[in-house]
Amino acid sequence: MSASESLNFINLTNKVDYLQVLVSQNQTEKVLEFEPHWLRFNCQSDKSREPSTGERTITINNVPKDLKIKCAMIENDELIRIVWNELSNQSDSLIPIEFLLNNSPSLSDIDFNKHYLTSNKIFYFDYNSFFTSQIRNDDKIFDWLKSLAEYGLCIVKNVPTKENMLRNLVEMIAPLHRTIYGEMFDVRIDVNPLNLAFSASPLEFHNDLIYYESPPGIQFLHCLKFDESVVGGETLFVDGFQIAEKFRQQHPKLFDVLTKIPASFQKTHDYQGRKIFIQYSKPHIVVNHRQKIIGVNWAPANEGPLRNCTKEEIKAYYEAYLEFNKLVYDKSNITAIRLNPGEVVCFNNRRFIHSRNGFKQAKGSRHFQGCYLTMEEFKSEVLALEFKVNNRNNEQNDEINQAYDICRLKLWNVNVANNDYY
Amino acid sequence: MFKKLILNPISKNIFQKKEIFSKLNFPIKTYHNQVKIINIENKRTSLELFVSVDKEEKLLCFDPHWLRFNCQSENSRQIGTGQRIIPIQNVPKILLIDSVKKKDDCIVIKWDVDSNQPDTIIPIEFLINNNPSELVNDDRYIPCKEIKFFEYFELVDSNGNRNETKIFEWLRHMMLYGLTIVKNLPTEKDMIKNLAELISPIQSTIYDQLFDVKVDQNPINIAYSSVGLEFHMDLMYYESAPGIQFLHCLKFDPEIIGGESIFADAFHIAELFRQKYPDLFSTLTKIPATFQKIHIERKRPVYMVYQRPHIALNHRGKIVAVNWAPPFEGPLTNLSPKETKSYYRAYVEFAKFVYSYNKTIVYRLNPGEAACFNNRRILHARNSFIPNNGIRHFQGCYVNIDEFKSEALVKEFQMKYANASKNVNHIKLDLRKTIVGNQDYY
Repeated sequence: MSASESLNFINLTNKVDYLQVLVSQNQTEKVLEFEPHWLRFNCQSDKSREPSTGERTITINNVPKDLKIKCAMIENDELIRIVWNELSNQSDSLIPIEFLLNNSPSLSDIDFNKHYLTSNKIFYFDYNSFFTSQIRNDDKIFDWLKSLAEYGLCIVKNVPTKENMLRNLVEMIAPLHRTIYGEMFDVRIDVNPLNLAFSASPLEFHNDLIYYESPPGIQFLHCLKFDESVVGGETLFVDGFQIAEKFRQQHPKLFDVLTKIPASFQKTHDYQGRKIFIQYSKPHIVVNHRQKIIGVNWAPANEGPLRNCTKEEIKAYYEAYLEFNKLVYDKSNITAIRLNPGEVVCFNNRRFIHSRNGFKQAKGSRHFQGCYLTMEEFKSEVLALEFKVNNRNNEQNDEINQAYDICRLKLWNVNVANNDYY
Repeated sequence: MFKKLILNPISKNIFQKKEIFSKLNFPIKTYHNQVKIINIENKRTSLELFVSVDKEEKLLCFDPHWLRFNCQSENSRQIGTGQRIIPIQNVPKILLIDSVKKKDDCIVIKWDVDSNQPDTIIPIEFLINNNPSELVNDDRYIPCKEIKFFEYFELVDSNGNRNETKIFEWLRHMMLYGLTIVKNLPTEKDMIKNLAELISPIQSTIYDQLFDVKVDQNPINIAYSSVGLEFHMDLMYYESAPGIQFLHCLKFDPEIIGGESIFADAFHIAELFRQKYPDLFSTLTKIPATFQKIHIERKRPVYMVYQRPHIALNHRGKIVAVNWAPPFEGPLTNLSPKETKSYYRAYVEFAKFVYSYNKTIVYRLNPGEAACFNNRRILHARNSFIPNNGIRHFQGCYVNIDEFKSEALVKEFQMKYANASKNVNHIKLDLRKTIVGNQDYY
């Protein structure tokens, strides 16, 4: 999408059955084509979009199957007006040129970019830098969130080791995502653990709460206490995107199986008067219409019996499943972190599968606090901040047509593994 | 798995329970009374069980890896949490069954020595109820053609005592049909929370916990005005759009003209569309639409954009979700001209289908009535209205779709098995197979 930054409009030609727009990009000329219905439905005038909310108000039933462009012209140097054939009985469509260029479906050909970043090292951010004399420092916060969106894993240092301090950090982004574990949860040894995490056992690699249609987006784990005398207990991460890509290269047929045959996830939970029984089936790897990986679902502890599958499918599934697991446990794919008190590890719970080494605490203890954000709310705030930071000096904030501003933002197309087809 | 529940006395007696069941028309067939193993055959690379379940004979076939991973012994499932603890990397690619025997109510499988796997123990009930090769073909929902009414004080009395049987009836109806109206919910502010919380904690969104639907001067949503609203689902730009939507009519003055609520079953519409236009249907399952909410001038600016096809299918080609929200659509991107053309051909035709669907339900909510419907299945719309100085005020909230389904299943379990110590993972619940539109592949 960043290709659109350097697009320059040259001219347009009415081809009746479509609109042809000539643009230049880095001194090369390109031809963009716009289907009539696309133009009609993306009219940005008050007749088509409610001004204050940006919601579309076109009655689809009044839009005919056949649409032809009678004429197309430029108005005020920035708008394109399209007049439709009389028979279609459609009001003129008004589309800002910038909208057209930023949202062209055929822009830069079909997009095969992965839209995420990888790194061998972990990025650190300083909680103290997020405030300058008690006022939020949006630039620093944006740096942190941008990194979290693109790389999916980072650590914030110097978060005071007081209970519930984590809330202060996370609520700078959005309201906490309440789950069956409450708004905040304590990770330490419980006598009757609700979850193996609340014990000293090692944990297998997993995404949290995978049995939900929309598992938590971002997870935060704040190390309150991790005495040196405690042996083990490191937090481990594997980038689901990277191992899924590797798997695709090494075993394309098995990869295909894991995108088609759904796994079964389940949860039975009985706590403080509330009983939960969730069963949910979905493939371990989700791909969009371009075969781009848009989701990874891995949580062996929460698996249930495969359902609704033929004998052949079950056989194929397990062959792929066992092979994929090898990549999960391949040491070269694992990042291990021993968190220090005051550090908060922030990670994309959909993309990074995580686990923990078992630990022994003869004396001393290990205590983390955790919470989640939904992916929508996280990503929304990232974009809101990007917009704020980019437009700080922009006088025309009031004039912004919110319907098309999203494409000026670089981070809107970051792949955060939430099954978004983009 | 669940501790025994003390329900109200009437359900302690199994015979009385059957009577309650027949009043509510519960099918009793999943209450397996007679399971007989006729023959067990070890085929080394598979296990065959010839059984008779309620006098029906069937041959069940099980893959060795499926058996291994579904072992229910302490070696494989952690007792307290039920989580699976099998180290996958220790399971070999090739698994051969050495021997099988029946022990109490379980099957015990010994694996061949080279595989180095502990014995696998699985209750027979689990095998029968979770047989993977049972392809699910029966009706997974019932088209919604009318409204069923419930009384609030039959669900929970004035002292706050819940009537679990009635609540289950209400949940079950919403699972199968997608739409109910609860009458006589006191028209006090926030009462709707009490109703919703009978199911689960409220799903909080960018519209907060509870939202007011009435005419606003500067509406942040076109719903907060007097214009008509097309058929749509709420918050389609969320990966897990709200599950059950509650709309509690607090005030709807008689002088107001119009403003009726309209409902239509998107599952049924999509099925009919598939029958009439299979190619166009296919297009809508493949080419993603764009849903968005971009609103800066708002207390909390919102930038949400999400792409997904209008219709989602599982690996069996069954419809597992419908996503329809025209007011919240954004520009299609990342498509060739051919795909764009093909999309719009299908889109315009589907929209026509939605408009011409003749089983829509039109209802003017009365104060005290709360419409409760599956926001992932039942399209809702509203006729425009002329206020004439009257007030139309609804209060609304949402419950997450997975939590709604969970509560319905828990209740079914409690209704049927409260006094039998059954493990919820071993038995088969009727409502498990109901499609609720949350993209569950099952």
